[in-house]
Amino acid sequence: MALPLRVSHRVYAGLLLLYPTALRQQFGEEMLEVFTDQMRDARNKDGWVGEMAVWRCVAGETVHTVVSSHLQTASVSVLSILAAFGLVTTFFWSIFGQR
Amino acid sequence: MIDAGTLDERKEAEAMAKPSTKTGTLPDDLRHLLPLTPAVFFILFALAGGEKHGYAIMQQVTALSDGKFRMGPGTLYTTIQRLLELSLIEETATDPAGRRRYYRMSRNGRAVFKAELGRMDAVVRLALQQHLLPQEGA
Repeated sequence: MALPLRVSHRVYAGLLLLYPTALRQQFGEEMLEVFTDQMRDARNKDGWVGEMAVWRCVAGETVHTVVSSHLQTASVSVLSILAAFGLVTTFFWSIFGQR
Repeated sequence: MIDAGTLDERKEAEAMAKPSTKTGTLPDDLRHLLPLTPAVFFILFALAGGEKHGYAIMQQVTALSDGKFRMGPGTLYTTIQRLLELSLIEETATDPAGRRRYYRMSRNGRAVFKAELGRMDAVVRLALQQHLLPQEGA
């Protein structure tokens, strides 16, 4: 593997740590493989301009995907907490609230 | 005794035989998926031609959209994960080196994709009727 490709490979492997754990565990290796294929093809076709285009696309989508995935996970957690709070409140109200 | 496998196969064959280009034939639990997001639409479109691994899907999407819609590995695999959860696609095999997994569209995936094409077709027909699009050959 050429040096620039090896560097990109390592940087992307680091970026993958930002993704949700479940996604990384299920698809991390494949994502890295696809990224490397994408970079190799871009380099063969358009040289460093092609590589930069791939990085631009990957950087944008990493920010978007990471933020939206974590927000989604966070909102699920908040909903679970609210639901649990609602259930506990209803339970205690049904016992003590009607006295 | 009824053979469940045979029954399922028969049901699948019947479902495939029926035209399902309208959202009316789509199961209720899948209707909320329409309209599809561009990523979901293009991944299903890429898999309509047969099973593919991740990078082949990505290349096919670029070709189908004439380079107008590009996605990186993050969007690709976030969407694949969601489509697997929704049972719209399924994993078929892994290459001998164990690095690449192949995916294909499921029966539900095909139904959703056809429903989306039907929806788009209806919109284009309406736009043509109201002269919002140039007529063919004009």
